[in-house]
Amino acid sequence: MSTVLPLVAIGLLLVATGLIGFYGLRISRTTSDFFVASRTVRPVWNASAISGEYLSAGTFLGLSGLVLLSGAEAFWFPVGYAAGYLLVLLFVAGPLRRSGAYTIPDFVQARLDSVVARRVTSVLVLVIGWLYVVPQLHGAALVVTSVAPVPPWVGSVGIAVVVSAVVAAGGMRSITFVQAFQFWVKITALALPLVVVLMALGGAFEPGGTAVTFDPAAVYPRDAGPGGLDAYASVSLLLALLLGTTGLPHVLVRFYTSPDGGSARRTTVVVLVMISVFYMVSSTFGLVARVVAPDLAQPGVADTVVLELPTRLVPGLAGELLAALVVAGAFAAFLGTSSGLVVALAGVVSQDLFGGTVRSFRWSAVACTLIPLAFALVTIPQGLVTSVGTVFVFAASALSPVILLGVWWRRLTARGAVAGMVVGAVLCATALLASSGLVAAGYGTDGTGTAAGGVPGVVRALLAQPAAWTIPLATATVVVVSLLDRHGPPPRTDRFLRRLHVPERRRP
Amino acid sequence: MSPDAGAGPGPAGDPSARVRVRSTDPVHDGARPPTGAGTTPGAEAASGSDAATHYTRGLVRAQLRLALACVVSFLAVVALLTVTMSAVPALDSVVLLGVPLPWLVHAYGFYPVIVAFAVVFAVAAARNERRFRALAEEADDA
Repeated sequence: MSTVLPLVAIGLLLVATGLIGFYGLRISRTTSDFFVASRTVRPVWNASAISGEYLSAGTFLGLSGLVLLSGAEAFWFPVGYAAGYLLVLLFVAGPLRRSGAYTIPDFVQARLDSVVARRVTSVLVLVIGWLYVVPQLHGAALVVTSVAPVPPWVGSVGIAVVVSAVVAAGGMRSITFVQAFQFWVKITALALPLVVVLMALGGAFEPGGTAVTFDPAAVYPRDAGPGGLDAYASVSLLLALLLGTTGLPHVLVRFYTSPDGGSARRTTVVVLVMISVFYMVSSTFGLVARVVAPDLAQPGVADTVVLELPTRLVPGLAGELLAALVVAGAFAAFLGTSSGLVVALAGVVSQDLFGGTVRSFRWSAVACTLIPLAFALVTIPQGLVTSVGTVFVFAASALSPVILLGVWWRRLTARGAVAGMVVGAVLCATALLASSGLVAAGYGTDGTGTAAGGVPGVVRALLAQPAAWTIPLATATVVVVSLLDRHGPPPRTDRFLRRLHVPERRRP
Repeated sequence: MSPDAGAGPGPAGDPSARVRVRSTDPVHDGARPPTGAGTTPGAEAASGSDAATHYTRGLVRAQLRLALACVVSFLAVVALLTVTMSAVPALDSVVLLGVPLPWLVHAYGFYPVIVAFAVVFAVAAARNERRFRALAEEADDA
């Protein structure tokens, strides 16, 4: 692959991002603009922006990489991400919009009337957000090293600088435009190359017009397909992805930019359509990769397969241009997700520590990019889609039970919420750390692996996919502690719940 | 909603408003034709806010029932699709465009289901809210 074209593509994307961010800067004047774009974002813009920030490096690069590497089980990730958005729509989209809060900690404090619960929520939100930014920066490092002879840190640092600059300059308002633009870049940068790649597979660029032939049973073996699914791992992962979306900081903050609860719901339906189309396109790349690039099926390399396919199948300049387009799309994915997360995190930090001024928001944005950057530079990239999946497991165990019960259960108390968040977070973190420790020691996550004996396979499976037991335990803790709490729910509970569920008055 | 409903929560939280509800009844009974216009606003606000609380509980319950029904039936469809694609070996020999059918189902089959449930829920939730508005307005006017 040539070096010039991808770099030009990245440059164009950054310039466009900067221009749109600057345009946003000129029209974001108030504090409210900075945090929630003054709640005047139109549904289509808002839906594009939500999709633009939800589609991350995980599904842009990682999905096809994992399909290539381990087969159909990779499809659970996009299915779970989309289904997670369905749960957001069913249980929290309308009510959270009506809550009138800016961030998840704002919601928890307003619902439970407790500063302690707010602080615990803030800490968890920051941990989740930082963990989510790290794979984006790893993805940037991966792409940069595969297109240019530079060290990996250049990509991570580059993304971090652009994100903190755009967020600090324009806040939520400019980010909304930037992310909406980036959604369309992402979908174009995958769909257009896919069409050409499929034409190439069909023989459109061969002199004789002969299609690529392969043996379906060899490329898509039953063991790597749906026939070989592990029941416990699939159910546990799907549960985590379903509930995890509800606990993601950048997903919830987006509902506050809809004008009312009904429009928040309609926006979510549009988002579901948009991300479903994207996931189908990205999944198709995974299916094609198994035919064309089986040699890339190694950990660490597999995630670059989307960048490789166009040049392998489409000869000459056309292939190079398509590859450059894919690179631009990948950078749009890193930028879109990271900037959405940084807006949400900077909102939390500046409100919790500095009273929520615009100036503190700017400094918080810079700090919230530097911390995950430091983390990304000292860690080794794992599979992108699995790293993002791990964040969902943590969010689903730590935050989702409290948010869901906060919206629907009036007996929830501050003590119950704090206990549940702590139990969920500690159990989940312990399980995931223990599991990665075992993997490092040579154990597999199931019955396989080089090290034998000592730790039963069942335990390893439970630690590798903890959601199926951590979420129920966290939820049970919230319920039991709330019911035992002699203080009972805060006195304003009924009024607050009415506000969440009663539709806004129609405008005269 | 009429302006009365907006004023509802204030007086309802005020203890003096509750006392007035009890005292209006005899007055109401004794002198309905002449003073009707003067006494009804107080009674209306109180009964209106009681009804509003009642309807609000109904709305919350209806929305929760709807969401739970959607999620349970969604999970049932997902389970059915998953069992079909993974436990029926005969499907592996059905190959479309070079890809075995179970792989195609796993890659594409779930999204139409997700979008369909989303649309059904959004329409039904909006209908619940319209019904609530109509009832609340009726209670205000009664």
